[in-house]
Amino acid sequence: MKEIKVPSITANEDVVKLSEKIIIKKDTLIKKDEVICILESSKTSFEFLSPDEGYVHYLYNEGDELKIGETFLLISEKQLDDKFLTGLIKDNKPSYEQKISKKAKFLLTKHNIDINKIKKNGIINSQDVLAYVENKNFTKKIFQSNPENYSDLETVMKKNYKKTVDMKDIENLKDQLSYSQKKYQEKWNRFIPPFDVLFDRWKNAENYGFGNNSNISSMSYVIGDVKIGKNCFIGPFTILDGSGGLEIGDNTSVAAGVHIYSHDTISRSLSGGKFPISHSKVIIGSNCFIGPSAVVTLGVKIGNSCFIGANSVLTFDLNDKQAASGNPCEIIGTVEIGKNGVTIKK
Amino acid sequence: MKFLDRVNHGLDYFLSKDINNFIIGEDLLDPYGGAFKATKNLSKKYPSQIIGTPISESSFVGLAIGMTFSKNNVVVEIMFSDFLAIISDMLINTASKINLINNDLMQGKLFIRTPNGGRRGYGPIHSQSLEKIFFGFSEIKLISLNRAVDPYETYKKIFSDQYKSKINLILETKIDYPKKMITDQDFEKNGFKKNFIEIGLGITELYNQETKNDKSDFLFLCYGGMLEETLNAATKLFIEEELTSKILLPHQINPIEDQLINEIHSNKFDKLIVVEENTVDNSWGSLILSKLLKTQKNTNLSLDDIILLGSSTELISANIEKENNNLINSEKIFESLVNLK
Repeated sequence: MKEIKVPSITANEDVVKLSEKIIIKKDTLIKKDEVICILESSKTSFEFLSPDEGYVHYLYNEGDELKIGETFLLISEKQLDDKFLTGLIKDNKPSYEQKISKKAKFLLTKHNIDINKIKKNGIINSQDVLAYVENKNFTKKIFQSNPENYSDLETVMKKNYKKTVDMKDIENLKDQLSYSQKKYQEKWNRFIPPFDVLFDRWKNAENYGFGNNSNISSMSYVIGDVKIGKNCFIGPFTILDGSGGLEIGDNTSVAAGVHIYSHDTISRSLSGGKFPISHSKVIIGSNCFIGPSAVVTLGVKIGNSCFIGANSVLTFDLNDKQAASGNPCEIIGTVEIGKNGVTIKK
Repeated sequence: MKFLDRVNHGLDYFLSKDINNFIIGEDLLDPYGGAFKATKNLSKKYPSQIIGTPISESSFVGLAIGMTFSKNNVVVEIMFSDFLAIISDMLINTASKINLINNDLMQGKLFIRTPNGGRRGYGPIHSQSLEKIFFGFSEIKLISLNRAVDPYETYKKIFSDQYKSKINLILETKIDYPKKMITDQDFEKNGFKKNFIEIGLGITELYNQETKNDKSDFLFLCYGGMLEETLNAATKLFIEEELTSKILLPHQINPIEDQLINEIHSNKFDKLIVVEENTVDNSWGSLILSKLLKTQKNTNLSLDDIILLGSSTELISANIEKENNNLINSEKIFESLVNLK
């Protein structure tokens, strides 16, 4: 078997094109000096003659560029097996090589980072490596952080905030939030939305100026002048409207989905804007329980240790220890705090 | 998608557009199809519209100018741009004056197209870039095609009825012919993004991914085949020193459009680098410089910030290695700039 190399057909050109293969029928023996292909340079075409008698096997496809001096044809005394040829057929598609700046290479070595860890369509530069290192440290820090202190995540996130956000940042953020969600679940046996993982409930309450040890979900709307005492629980999806003023005492629980309004737009809407928005302060005492999805309307005053049932719409005042429920809401009894527990006495 | 195939496609479009469109020049007919095969298969397809000529550039450019008097549009292929010197009399003293002297005598348009530049080892009279002969003649529009923008699309614009210029000289870099077009993905692998500014025939803008809105270290200006050398140099400047670049690559190089100058002024950069295969004296760079000087009062651009790079004035050698010493290339561009910062 003879390996046939690409000839130089014009001076100073290092590549030629395989313009045309002269297709020879299978099992046909070609003679010496028969045309077997046409090579093309930038300025001329060249009929390539077989240097010997035998069977021709092309290693490239028509249109491929061939480097001068490389093997592009085989001529054999016997027909060659297709399987044998498959491994020899050249793929002259350029292989992709990730480009890296020298500074980036230095940093990769310094931090002992595998280049394949950084994905980029372009040149990897020192900023990419530093961002990776920072991100790695960030993730490490989160793993090492006390899962009780979720505000740490917020602090680190702020530090890592960049002007431009790419998909890599978003993917990293998603990974970090997922991790935090898992830790939260381990700690509290609750799987909650990322917002409440990201922002610590107690820290939120502190930021709002609520009393000591109160907490509020990040999924709450707090509007206007809202004052809340200590040890209160404000659940997710709640609306605390202080536009007309809202005060809540100590140890009160506002369950998920409760809306407390100190304003309404009923008069304004019904009068076509003739009358203004109505405001009136809502005051809720200490040790109260407001059930899920209850609504408290403007101006309502609720005493201490009151119970409001789920889905109630409370439009009137309650004295201390009164229990109310329903829509329309009714007084259903009084709250009795005994030695063995709490009951509603009808 | 190879550059040459797209040029061929553009010429095919030209001939298909009107029976009064002609291509004339040496060795254009099949099977040869032109020295660089730009007209391959076209004489078979449009036998009456391709005219083979003897080796007499001045005469057949004169013929083409005459044909435009009868509303014919004519593409003339000049086999090597070195022969632009021969036709310069026809273009400068005849074509560019005749409409002014004889009340728009040229009813059709003239398109001279020619393979330009060196790097093939063709020696001193087949490797030059002589477009500088025509700089400053406002009636002669010089257009340089490049591998960042499909020449077929550019030719469609040039051959359209909306394109009004009567005398056009189109440079095709000869080493680009067998090469593939540079795709957006190719640019991205080198860390560059591409933007096409739709002004006239268009300006291609390439910028380091990191510098779209920020200041770049270098603003390069180049055309035609200099794209590859400039891009390689800019890529190396980033890899070696993380120096950032933006490249502006106009199609029209004469007359210089105000929009190109505005683009230069609107960019933030430390150094403006004009790169061309011409020799530097009396060059495109000096033309750019004179335009900038007229407008620099509006900017902080100083002469110290402008660098003109081009080829040596020595004879271009037929020896490929020596030719490499004569012509500007990416290594020389890199070496000229790397220590400036």
